[in-house]
Amino acid sequence: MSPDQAAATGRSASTAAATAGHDEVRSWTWHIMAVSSWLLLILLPVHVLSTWVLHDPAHFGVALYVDRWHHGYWRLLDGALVVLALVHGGIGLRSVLVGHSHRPQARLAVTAAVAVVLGAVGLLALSTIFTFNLS
Amino acid sequence: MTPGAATDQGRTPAPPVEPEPPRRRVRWGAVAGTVVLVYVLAYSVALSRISDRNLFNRWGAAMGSLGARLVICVVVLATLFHTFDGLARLLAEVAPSLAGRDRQLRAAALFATWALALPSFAVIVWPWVAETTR
Repeated sequence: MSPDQAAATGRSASTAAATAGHDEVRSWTWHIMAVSSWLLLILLPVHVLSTWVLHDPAHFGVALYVDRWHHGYWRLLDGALVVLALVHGGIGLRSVLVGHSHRPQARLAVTAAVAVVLGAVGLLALSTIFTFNLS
Repeated sequence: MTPGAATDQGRTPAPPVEPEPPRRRVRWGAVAGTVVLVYVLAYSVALSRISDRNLFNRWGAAMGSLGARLVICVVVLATLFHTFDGLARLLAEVAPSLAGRDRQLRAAALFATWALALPSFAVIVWPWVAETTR
């Protein structure tokens, strides 16, 4: 199991990761997964709490975001959440899907498809978060 | 009478018992991660349509229904589980002394998940209950 697969799949990852020696060369995806994990550990619960638990879901609407995005740091937080979650989820999804295919072309196609779909959605969301007119 | 004796008397021997195939373990961490990824995708698509205020507010109003609240509960559960399960794995990696305590870490992650999920479910669903029974 490669480190990025281990990071993305299964309980066996804990043992695999914990027993991996420091001299092991880890892939760049492993490092991205590790950094995004630590950041999402804070961002995701904050997002879920602030959006769905502390506010009644029935009040979800434009007014909520107009209030929220008056503070620049909330735009930053929402943007960071979207980017990190899509990158983290994309790498995880890719490693699960690639695990089922043995042909290099299929692996490349899966990687490209995941990157294009998640990249497009992320760019759309980011452009909206940072350009939305509050007035 | 022993089985061997039965065979000796001309009865057909019992067919050999095939070993049960190993059961595939459901990777709940990956399942929860998939739920969270689908949520983030849906959330990102919804956010990208915020400029259409009527449409976005209609979606917002739909989030007040019981079905949507239950879906949110599932998302909250998946988020909490993926968070604590991931935290357990990160801790096992940061502190190698914890690496052998897989069961304890898993139990702690489950406990923390449900300890936060159940009150969250109540907070999310209660406004609908209060509104309906008023």
